[in-house]
Amino acid sequence: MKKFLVTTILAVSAFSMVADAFARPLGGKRSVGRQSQAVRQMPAPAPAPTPNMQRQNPNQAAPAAAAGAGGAAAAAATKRPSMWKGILGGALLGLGLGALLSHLGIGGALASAISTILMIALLGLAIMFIVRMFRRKDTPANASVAGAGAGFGGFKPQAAGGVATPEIGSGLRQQPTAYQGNNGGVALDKGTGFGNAGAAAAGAAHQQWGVPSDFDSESFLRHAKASFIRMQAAWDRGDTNDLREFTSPEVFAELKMQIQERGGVADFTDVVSIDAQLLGIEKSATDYLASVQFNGMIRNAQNAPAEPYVEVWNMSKPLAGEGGWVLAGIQQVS
Amino acid sequence: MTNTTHFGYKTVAEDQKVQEVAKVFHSVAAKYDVMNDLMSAGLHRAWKMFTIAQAGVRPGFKVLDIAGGTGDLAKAFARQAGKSGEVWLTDINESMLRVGRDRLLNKGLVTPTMLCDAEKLPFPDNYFDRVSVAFGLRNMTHKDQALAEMRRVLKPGGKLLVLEFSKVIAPLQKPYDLYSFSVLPWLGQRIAGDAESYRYLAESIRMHPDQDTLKGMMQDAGLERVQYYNLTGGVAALHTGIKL
Repeated sequence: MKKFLVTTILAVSAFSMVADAFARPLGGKRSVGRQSQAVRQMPAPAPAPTPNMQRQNPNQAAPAAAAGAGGAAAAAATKRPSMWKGILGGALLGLGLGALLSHLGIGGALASAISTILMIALLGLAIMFIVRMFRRKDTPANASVAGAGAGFGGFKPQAAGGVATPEIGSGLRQQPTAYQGNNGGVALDKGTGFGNAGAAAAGAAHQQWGVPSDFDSESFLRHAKASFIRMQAAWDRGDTNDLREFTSPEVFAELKMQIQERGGVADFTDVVSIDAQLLGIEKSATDYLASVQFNGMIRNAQNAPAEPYVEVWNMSKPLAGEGGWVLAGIQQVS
Repeated sequence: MTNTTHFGYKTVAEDQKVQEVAKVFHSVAAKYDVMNDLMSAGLHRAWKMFTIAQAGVRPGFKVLDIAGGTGDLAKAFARQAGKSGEVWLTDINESMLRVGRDRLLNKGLVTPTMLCDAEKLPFPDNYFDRVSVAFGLRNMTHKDQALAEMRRVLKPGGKLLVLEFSKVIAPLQKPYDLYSFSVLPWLGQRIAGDAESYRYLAESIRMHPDQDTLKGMMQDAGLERVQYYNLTGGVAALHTGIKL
């Protein structure tokens, strides 16, 4: 809020000051429509990226999801930024030790012997660190899914085939063997899935949550990002026709109400950067619900500084029929 | 009878050049920006900034970025043209276009993106305020035809900007040759694991018409007030022309 006030004060013209006071991104930073239980039960989300961390967005994505899963990997992953600190610290320490030793009057052979031992120790640490880093990188590309699986009682990603969404080019094409590894007992999987009841019970709340391995997350997320940006623009213009196209009736009603409350004033939302990750897909009796977490930077006034945002959009798509993905709910996670 | 053209120093059939160029860019797409930075020591950014400044895109402009590749120009144009503007990112190479599209999207820019051939632009006459082509003309088989197409889609008063490698000034010739035929392929091999593509790059730059020849070609295509700016001693040159 403080930041917001500062922004307002810094605004150059009186007119833009007035506009600022009303500027709100789509949904007005409130939770709207359908909420995902699975998202709610995630441990505290990763903090919104600060401007300095923006450049690391692709890396950012993994820690955020992993942190959500609360796995051990998450803790390690979130520590990643400190790596350079460690290395730099090491270098400084080396220099400092040399200075200290010479200051203490330990010179010549003894000092060099001590330095060598210390350097070797440091080197060993560095190598261990690098090896660990590479091991982490070796894990599957979508570390977020793997991480989520690990956190939720051994839910294996390929086991999630049961919640595949045939309409989006994924289908149930897996070989039967894929189900052997299923200890989560996913909806469509009959029979083989219940071998590991203990694990299933442990992860009961999240059984159906994950991303099917053959789901085309990449293009799904691309479309999600595009529709995020497009809907922000439609929201700014108050273009209810465009909003209706991409929202469920409940969300549309809420958005329309908010636009009316605004009283015909155009809003300003400039998406400066955007990153999205698919947290998981749930299946209900009638539809799929995919939870997508967006984070990035948004500008709410023409020359205002960009501010970080994190928001989960729940997109739904009927199990059958022609309907595409629409925005069924906005969920605030912080 | 098959027409022939040059692919680097090799002479190939025309339809083969298209495929060869496509192969080069499929191969380098992922590492394209890293390599650009490395090879030009970051200078390509300065050249592009100069081009963007010369374009002078204003809100509401319709801009066509041909061979837009990874979207550097389109990104800047899209911000300048604003929400009332229209910036098309086009390329003939799908791999490059994918990279560009995703990059723009991650910057919150949803622009129309299209796979198309600059020699047969799928746009009506007199449509764009600006047409730009950065480091793309060199790879086109029929440059005259491409330039004529660019002129066709420009509005009267619209401006064409061609940023391309060019002929360096005499004192720089020797070190530049050494650099592009020894260092470049080596860098390409080390960084992108692909020396051939970068050898093609160096060769294709040599085969590209020099400043005055290109100026003449633009005039032949019907552009007026054609002028060029040498950048970094002629390593690259920006040609601009106006359709009247």
